Amino acid sequence: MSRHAHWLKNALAGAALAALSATGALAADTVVVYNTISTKVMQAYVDAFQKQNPGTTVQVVSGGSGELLTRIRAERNNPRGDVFVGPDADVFDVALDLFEGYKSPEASAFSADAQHKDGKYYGFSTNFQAFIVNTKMMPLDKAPKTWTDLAKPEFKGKILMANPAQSGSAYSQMHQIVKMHGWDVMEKIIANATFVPSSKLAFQNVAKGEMPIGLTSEFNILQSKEEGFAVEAVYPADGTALIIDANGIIKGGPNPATAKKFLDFISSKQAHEILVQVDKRRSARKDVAPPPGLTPVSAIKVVAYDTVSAATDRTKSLETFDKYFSRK
Amino acid sequence: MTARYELAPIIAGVLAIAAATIFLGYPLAHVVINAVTPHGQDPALGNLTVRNFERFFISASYQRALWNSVVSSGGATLLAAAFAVPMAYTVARVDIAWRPLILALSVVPLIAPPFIGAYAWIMLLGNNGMITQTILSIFGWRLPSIYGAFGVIVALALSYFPYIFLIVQGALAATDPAIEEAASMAGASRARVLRTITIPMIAPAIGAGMMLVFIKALGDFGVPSILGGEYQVLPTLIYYQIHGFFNLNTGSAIAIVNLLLTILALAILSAISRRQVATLSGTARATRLTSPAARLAGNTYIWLVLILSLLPQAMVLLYSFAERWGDTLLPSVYGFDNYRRVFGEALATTWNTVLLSGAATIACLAFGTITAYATVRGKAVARWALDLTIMLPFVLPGLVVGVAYLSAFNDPPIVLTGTAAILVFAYFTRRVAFIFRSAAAAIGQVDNKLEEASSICGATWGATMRRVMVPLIGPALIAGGVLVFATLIGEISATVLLYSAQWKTISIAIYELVNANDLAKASALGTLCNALTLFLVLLASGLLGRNMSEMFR
Repeated sequence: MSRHAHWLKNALAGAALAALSATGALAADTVVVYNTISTKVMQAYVDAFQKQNPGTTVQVVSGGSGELLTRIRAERNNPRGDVFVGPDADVFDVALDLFEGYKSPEASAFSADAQHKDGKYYGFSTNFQAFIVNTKMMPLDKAPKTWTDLAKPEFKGKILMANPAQSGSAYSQMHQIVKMHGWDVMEKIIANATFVPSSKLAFQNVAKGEMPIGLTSEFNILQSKEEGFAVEAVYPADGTALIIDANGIIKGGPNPATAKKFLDFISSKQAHEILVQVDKRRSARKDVAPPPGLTPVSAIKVVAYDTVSAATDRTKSLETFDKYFSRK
Repeated sequence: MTARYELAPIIAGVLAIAAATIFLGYPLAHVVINAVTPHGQDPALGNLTVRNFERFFISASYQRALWNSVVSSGGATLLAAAFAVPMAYTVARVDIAWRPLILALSVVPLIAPPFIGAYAWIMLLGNNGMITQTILSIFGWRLPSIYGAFGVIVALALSYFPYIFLIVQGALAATDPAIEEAASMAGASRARVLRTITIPMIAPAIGAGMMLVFIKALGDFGVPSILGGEYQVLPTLIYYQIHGFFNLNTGSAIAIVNLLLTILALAILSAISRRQVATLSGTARATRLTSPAARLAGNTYIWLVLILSLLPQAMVLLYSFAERWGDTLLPSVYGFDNYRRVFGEALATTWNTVLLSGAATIACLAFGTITAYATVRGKAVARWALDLTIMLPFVLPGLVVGVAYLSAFNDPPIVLTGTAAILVFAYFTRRVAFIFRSAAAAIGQVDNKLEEASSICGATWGATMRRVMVPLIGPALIAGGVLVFATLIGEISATVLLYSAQWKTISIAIYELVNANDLAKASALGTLCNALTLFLVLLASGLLGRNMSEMFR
């Protein structure tokens, strides 16, 4: 019995000590990053940033963009995070009150539509939405060529799409389809497609041969192909938009000065080159080349994506989606 | 004899009430407040609303999700009972080999690391899964699709059947087979003995186990989110509101509907357990069927269910050794590389997990035992309120507990966000019901003459507790503690909302790897996580010198 009590005392003392040292760490130069991107890239950033700023600690808290935005909103009266890294730009647009405007010296490297007008966010990667096609299950010449093709009866039960209410990229895809072709086409696509709750499943299950066609971001297709899966990317011939994800400073965060330094760093050419190299994404900076292996922009029909209407229409669009979806 | 003024029970009681109020009642109140606050506003007296609930009356997809939740949890519960009860009967009443191994393996589905399990089902039984393809190429049969109700029910049943198995097995082991023997000597057929003696005897245990499975299935998010496809249930709907609409108010409203469903289930549970007949005796012998037919049938059934339920774990194990696995049936390159690369991460996060889960387990043990004692022995007027306060958070989805803790403990008077304490208390909130239930059951079986004798001999209340009560109910407490600790190691849904960088857990590390699409490394970490848990379970049962079944009685 007494041995147990002793062990208990030690454990509690250890916990208390750890809690103390945690508070101590906060006193030094620290930045708390709420992170939605892959840990591989984030680790490279932490190493590079700490090397440039000796003595600074980067604390990374990872999660999905929905979870982390929920966290930022719940913490708004006493914020715990400093920088929000990597969610879609329209996630910032629906919650601008939670973020701090900041004029970064890197701002000039971004075009006007790749940054918020008051500096509440700066672009990170920018990617086309495309069709991933499993060529073992469907020869490329039989695959859909345009968004409207997806509405054709021959593709019924063959398309995988993430649920727009659960995935940011799927919401962008839907917004794009509705803006270009209206709800008539989207309604037919809803009837044709199978919806999964996560954007990951929409390309992973195509790569694994569960479904022939999926809607996803282009870099997922390139990554799957490089892992050895029989997949190809089809860019819709009626045009596809560059969807941008972004980084911004959380309003009232505990370390405002270091937060600015980190935002400058993560918006820098060096940081964007790491992103392109490791994750195969296109950079939102004007001066960083896309990764080799991705279709050049000149071969893609590009249409504009309106982040502002994407944010303002969000609730209404998702309700309309819910209406059609529940009729299935 | 003069009545002594006893301070200890009063202090213990006050502390228990304070803990219940602060860590259970206060966050729970926040869920209710969130549910009646309009989205995007701070709660105030003037703006309370029931709008967040209105979708249940107008939206077809909400009504369908509500219905799906009832059907999938109910279906999974029945299927789990069909798996578990014959298994339990065989282990307790048929003479089969490797009984301890069977019991140890049956705990493994309960400790599955987050996310990986459901992915494993797709890799096995999806349209292009290993089993699907093998059966297709050998027999030319196409298995039914695992996406939708069928897959969700089967996967839930296979993940939660151990609750029924362990409880029923324990109950059977504790009942004296003499009653059954007497009946068959009096001329009753085997079927009649089973129907009129055995089943009524273990009915309360089956009922308790089934309710536990129903509650767990009702709150499960991982399985329906991956295998459900378009088949939505209430937990996926909650996630949908918080993740897609960033709307924790409607999310909380859905959680409350989920809660009401569970209260209904709990009411049924307490109705069943009230009918419990006292059949426990200290002298249960083991008499077992030895006929070869019974052994063959029993072994076949047990191993079939066990192998089925362990398939996802086997898949995780296989994947953890895969250095390259593209478009082929099996990995093309094997090795230890995944383990090498997660080793550093594993060390740091395992230590955090052990500290946090350990502290939470200790808190659960202290609080759960005291309150169980108060509810069983005390004459507290508000006994049912205490019971409800402890049981409710148990059935709330982790995401909702996470949100409740964030909104309750981020602002003064009590600020805990960013500390280890917030995780410990959230874990405590989510698991204390386990200890509370098992301690209450154990205390109920201790005759209070023992305590009276001790206090007549002059022992204080504290000494009576320490010297008489705790040793008597110790095994039940340790069993409950092991279950709490083991299931906390994989906790993710509340952790992801509450953890801070210094307190990253092993489940978060797995989550990050799954997120980065690095399933091989995630599997390596998941396998380490499983091995650690299994080791601790075996250690605890070894320390106690009893087998697992008795621990989970």
